[in-house]
Amino acid sequence: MSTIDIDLVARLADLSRLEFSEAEKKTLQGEIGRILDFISVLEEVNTDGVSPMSSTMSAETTRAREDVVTEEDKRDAYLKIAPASEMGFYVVPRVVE
Amino acid sequence: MLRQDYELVVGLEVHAQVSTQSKLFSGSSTAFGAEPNTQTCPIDLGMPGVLPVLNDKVVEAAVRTGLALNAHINKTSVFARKNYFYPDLPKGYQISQYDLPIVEHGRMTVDLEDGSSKEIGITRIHIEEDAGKSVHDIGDEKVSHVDLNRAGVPLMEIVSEPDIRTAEEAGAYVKKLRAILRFLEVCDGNMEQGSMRCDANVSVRKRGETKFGTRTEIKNLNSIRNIVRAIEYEAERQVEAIENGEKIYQETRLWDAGKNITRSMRGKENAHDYRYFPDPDLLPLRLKEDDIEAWKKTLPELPDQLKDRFMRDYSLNNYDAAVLSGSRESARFFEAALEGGRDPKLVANWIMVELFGALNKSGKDITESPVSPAQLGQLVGLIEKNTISGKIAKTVFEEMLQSSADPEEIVKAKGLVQITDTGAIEKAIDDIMAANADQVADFRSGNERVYGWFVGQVMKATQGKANPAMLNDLLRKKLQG
Repeated sequence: MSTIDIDLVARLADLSRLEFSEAEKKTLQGEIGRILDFISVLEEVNTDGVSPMSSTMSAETTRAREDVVTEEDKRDAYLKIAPASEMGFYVVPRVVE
Repeated sequence: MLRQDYELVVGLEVHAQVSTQSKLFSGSSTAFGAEPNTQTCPIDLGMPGVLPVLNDKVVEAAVRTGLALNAHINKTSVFARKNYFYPDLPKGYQISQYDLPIVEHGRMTVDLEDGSSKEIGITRIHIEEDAGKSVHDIGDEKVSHVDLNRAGVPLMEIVSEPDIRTAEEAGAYVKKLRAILRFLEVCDGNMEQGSMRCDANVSVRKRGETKFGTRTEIKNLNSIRNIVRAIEYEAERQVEAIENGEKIYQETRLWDAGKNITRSMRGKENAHDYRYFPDPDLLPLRLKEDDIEAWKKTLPELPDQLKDRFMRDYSLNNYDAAVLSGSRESARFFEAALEGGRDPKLVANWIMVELFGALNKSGKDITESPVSPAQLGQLVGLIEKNTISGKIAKTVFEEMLQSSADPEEIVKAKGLVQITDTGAIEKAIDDIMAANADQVADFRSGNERVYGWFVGQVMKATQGKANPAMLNDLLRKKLQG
């Protein structure tokens, strides 16, 4: 059984901008540990000489488009579904230190 | 100046906005200066259910830039997600490239003021999208305002090897890179508008040490001048800290151009855990050899080729050739001014010293020069034909800057034609010698310093129009008696 320490859970929470109580962290420690166990079977496969695969459609190339402007200004509609906006900006809690 | 026993080590990361109409993964406009948030769409905003579709012009731009930097083009490259939370990044990740960038292992030659050249390695170029912009200085001070027009704008991040050893080299590197991008027309290189931005990784070490010192990353460098000043400051700061027995922390520092210092950005340690992984929304980018070959054929004459040609065809030295080939506009100006078979070295000097000096002072670009290339050529022609002296030419040039008039007209209107008539010069010398017998005697008894005084007097008498070489010749002969 793989274990992760509670500090790693705290760090992941911090990176994800999530806040957990100590009890929740304990629960997550167990759950994340079991997820890691579940996928750790992959580590048993010998991958010597196998190049990393980033897509299952390995022979295809990504689709590209021509450099043309196709979108029109719908600012008001987007701002309306934001929690807060003014003067054409989205308003968020202050982020500069 | 950095202490002799320390060595500076710098690597630069340049973000160049690719000149496109639309964004990297969406059809939103990239035009500069639009009203906030008027150039966004669900893809840029990170709405659920959208898929990014790559702009093919950006791929072409990155490959052509790679070719121009003598780099290896990776036939397969992979887009990756760089994860972090910030309000100006709606998706919670930036689409970038990580372990398989589109371009690797390039190099570029920079030309330094002492006439030497140096090669700087290019580690990689990758394609990525820009974030939006947070504005902190309007409205309520408890909030920030976010403009997402820039979110999704295409960038190339061009990363150098830590090959740079002086602040001057760093400035020369950015200048050269900007010139190349402009020649390729893949980026406008405008640092004030943010279409080219630079971060510097700076460390110092004792000379002879082979391991690198701990580096800091300096952000917010929005001009070549600031890049040079920030690196100079940071190197001094690090040396002083080491000498005082302090530790250098690997950290991000911000350049404060007002105070001329770099300062630490606290609490950003976690921000460097980006948890990159291949973006499942985008397949690997695979390039066809035919496309690469076709793009290779579209490469223009680049600064280095232009420089070599200037050195070969016009016998310019390395530095002069590098400066004049530094932008297409200055190269074009130079070659246009040469029309009619002017002396290239003389034309180069007039452009680099007088014209660039005047443009600098008035904050103008060479494209806004009040003096046309043809006019500058005519002015040099007047000097070559001995119609005016180099000294008078400077007066004429001042006038040209003011009025944009042809030099011939100014010379004629102001009666500045040089006196090349031996008789007239001789007469002026005779008059002066006759009126100043004491000084003549003084000179003849060995006081060489009086000679300069005589030159001045004759020049004054001829309103500066005497041909200097002829004056010199005649004066010495007559004084020596």
